Amino acid sequence: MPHMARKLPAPLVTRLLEEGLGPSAIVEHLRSKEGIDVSPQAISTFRKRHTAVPAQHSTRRVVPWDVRPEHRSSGYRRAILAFHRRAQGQTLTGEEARNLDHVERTLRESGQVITYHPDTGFALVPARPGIDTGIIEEPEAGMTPQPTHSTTPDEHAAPAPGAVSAEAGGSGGEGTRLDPWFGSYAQRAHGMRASEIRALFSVANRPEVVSLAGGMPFIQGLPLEVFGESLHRLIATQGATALQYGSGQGDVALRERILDVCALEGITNAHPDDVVVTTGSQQALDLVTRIFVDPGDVVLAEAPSYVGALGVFRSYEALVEHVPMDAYGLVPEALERALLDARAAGKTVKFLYTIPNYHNPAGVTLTLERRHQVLEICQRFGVLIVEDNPYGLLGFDREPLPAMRAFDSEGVLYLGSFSKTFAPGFRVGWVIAPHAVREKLVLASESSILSPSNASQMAITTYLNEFDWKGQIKSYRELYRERRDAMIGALAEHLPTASWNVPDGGFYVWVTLPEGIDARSMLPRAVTARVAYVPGTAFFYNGEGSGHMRLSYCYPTPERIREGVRRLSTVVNAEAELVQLFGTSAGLDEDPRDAEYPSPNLA
Amino acid sequence: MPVNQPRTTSTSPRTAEVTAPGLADAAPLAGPSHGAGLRVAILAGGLSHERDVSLRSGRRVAEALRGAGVDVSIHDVDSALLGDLDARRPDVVWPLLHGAGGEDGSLRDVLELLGYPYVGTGPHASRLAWDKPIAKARFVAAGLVTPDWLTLPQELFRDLGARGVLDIVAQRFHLPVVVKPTRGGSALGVTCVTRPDALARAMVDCFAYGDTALIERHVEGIELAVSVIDGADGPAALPAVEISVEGAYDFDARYNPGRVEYFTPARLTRSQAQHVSDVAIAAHRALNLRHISRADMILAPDGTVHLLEVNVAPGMTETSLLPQAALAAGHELGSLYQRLVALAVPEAASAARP
Repeated sequence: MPHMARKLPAPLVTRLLEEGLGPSAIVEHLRSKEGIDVSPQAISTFRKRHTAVPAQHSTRRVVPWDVRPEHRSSGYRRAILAFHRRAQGQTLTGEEARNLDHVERTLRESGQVITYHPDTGFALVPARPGIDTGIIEEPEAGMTPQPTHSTTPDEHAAPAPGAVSAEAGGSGGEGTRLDPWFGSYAQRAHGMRASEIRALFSVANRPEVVSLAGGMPFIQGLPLEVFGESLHRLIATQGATALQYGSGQGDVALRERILDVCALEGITNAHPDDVVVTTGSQQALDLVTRIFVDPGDVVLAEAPSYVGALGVFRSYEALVEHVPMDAYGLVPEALERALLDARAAGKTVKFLYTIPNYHNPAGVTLTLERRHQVLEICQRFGVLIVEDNPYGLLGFDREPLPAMRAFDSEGVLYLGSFSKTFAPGFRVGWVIAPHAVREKLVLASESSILSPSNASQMAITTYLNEFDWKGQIKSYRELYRERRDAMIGALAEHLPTASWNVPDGGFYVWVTLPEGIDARSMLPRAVTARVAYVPGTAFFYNGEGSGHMRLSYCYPTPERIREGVRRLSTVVNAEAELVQLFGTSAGLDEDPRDAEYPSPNLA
Repeated sequence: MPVNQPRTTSTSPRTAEVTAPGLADAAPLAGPSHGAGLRVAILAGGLSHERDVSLRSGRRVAEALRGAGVDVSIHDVDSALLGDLDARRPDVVWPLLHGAGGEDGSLRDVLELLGYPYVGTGPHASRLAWDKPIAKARFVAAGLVTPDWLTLPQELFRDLGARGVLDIVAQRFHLPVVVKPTRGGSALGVTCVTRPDALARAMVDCFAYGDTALIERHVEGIELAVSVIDGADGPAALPAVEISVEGAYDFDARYNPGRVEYFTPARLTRSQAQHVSDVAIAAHRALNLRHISRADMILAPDGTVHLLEVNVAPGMTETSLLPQAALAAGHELGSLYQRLVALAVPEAASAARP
């Protein structure tokens, strides 16, 4: 193995990697052009540690010219790199794809290809038939890429005594991405980025702002003082257990009480052993996806769907196909069509993720008749149902409908939670699963958290044993109904140009904005007006939804809700005038992967 | 702590080289006049669109100052602020507020009225720097180069018809252009428009942040940020930071490490480095700024430096440019910030301290 005599010329190697060369071709380039001997392994290691470039083995440079630094941000160069990445089957960002589309269209219409000269930069020249078959002017056959002049980015820098060139790897030429592990992240982490939208939510917790954005339940309604005394007793008498590790599956006393809660929604055929306690139902969602979904598998979800679930699916590299819903919930015919389409396309559908009651964000409930239809369709196609039901007991006008799990103990994984009916701070949820699935869930949970919090579970058991929890749920229902009424009344009064559904339970109203308004684009205006909402795009995997917003009425008082909607109306009216003036319409979110929802502790 | 030898040959303005310019010979390094023993109140947060960035800046600066032994408190800008300041009686206030309220000078007016010494530019000059078209006019008056621009309020589009105005923009200005709100930072509401049909969307995105748009000719070249520290010897530039970005230097690029590769000092020739430092210092002077500023500019292939804007409250987050420049210059952030704090203390007050 050649001795690594000098430090790698980082900027040059990065550029060659970006331009598609494999390690051995880069080794050759360095040896012939720079007189540097390095091993292919050194290049691979460098790629993984310091760049985001995926492994490749090409011996040909994608951009066969030595591009000067001032030309590197050229749209043509980016188009060439995107063209190459697309050819390798990689996904392009919205911006990359649009830039490439635009360039390709120009080239096609004009019969030209891209060329480059260091003095004049990128330009278009007529394509030579039979030679320039791609989007660039192919270098002359047999010639190596020229010029080799200015291969180093600071070639044009004066050679000051002791000056550190990029080649020497000194402080003068070494760039930084401010994250030494940037090149090491898994593919699934690349979308885990903060966004402009998320930063805007930062004002939502300030008292001046009416936040209709969050999903925090109204904890102030709980009998906190008396409950505090119970917790004191719990720790004093059972602290040695409460503060110890627990079982991976969860405390059996709580699992028994969980079945009492589930019985209210018609689940009477479950055993405490079928229950796995999780850290919020969010962890249940994570575990279920972990044990079922391989990268590229399809998960079906309503359109729109819960933003936190979409995040989990994305992190396991699932493909989400949205299935339309209407005022009666998921549309069974559309579900069947989606399953047929997926089958025809040769895709594997692993499960249907559905929120049948008081949907987040759409606010609708799946009718009883459709529950049976959905079960029948999924049974016929052999597709599992993940029934996520955090809001089922929070209906305003009637007793809960039976859960789908009540009719099918083999084909449904049922997710429940104490976060909305009691308190999210304990982070206790659960999943009811058939025995084989449950065994895997327990092992998966142990590998992720060892065991759910014993203290939290025992606190909840204490609450269920010592307090009138059903009465508390009833008072929550009344509280939230009053808030729903405040919001719907205010919408009717102040926002007649929009449309919305009237939820009969849960926390959310799904608002369709007047034609042309883009909810993402409007959010800064709302922040200026001291009101916040979540743009509809957060609830779609594919960037749709910008013509909608989710308003939540769970946390602010009725008076604040009315004030918030009033502020929102001035925002919507001003934005409507603007989009009318410019004739723009609600567009796709170019990068649906980044985080465009508030963190859970925002009101 | 690295102590830099005062350069004997050069006079101000100094060149931005690998060693730290500026503060090295500003004052001795110990004693209360250097910030240790001072009570500092950092203001961060506020209700602007950049609240999140400001909170991050505030925490970073507080952490660095605490590491240097300074007694620091952090305050949001809310109805409790004046009472809290009254109770704490800080020796120096450091407003690390970005966006409206923080950079527009209004809060600095209040600090002046209350008589609190503070780090940074005064209210009047802040107000000028904060308004990008006004600042650009100042640059031109000072003989500095800034990209051609138009200022278009939303009413103008309403009065003249959007289509007609946008057509004129596309023809008169030639694309690409950069559309941005006349006020505010962090690239919020900013779009680089390369196609005429994308102009309308860019205007809508911009007007969601404010009612006047700045349309600026896009300049190709090397993107640079030059921070200026205005010490006892007058303003000195830190090494330029070069921003090499895949795609736009937008909010995502600024605050999520990865897409941007920063080169500090920038990959410039000695004369280029000198030139960009001179421009940053000239801009700092043209706007009558104090203590600290950061100039954003583009070095075009023909060697012209196009000044985009100057920030009176430069970002101080993990990914911000001024801290990177300071580190590259050999500064230790805690002691640099400590010395900035000391600069704000009136001479008499610091001398009187035990």
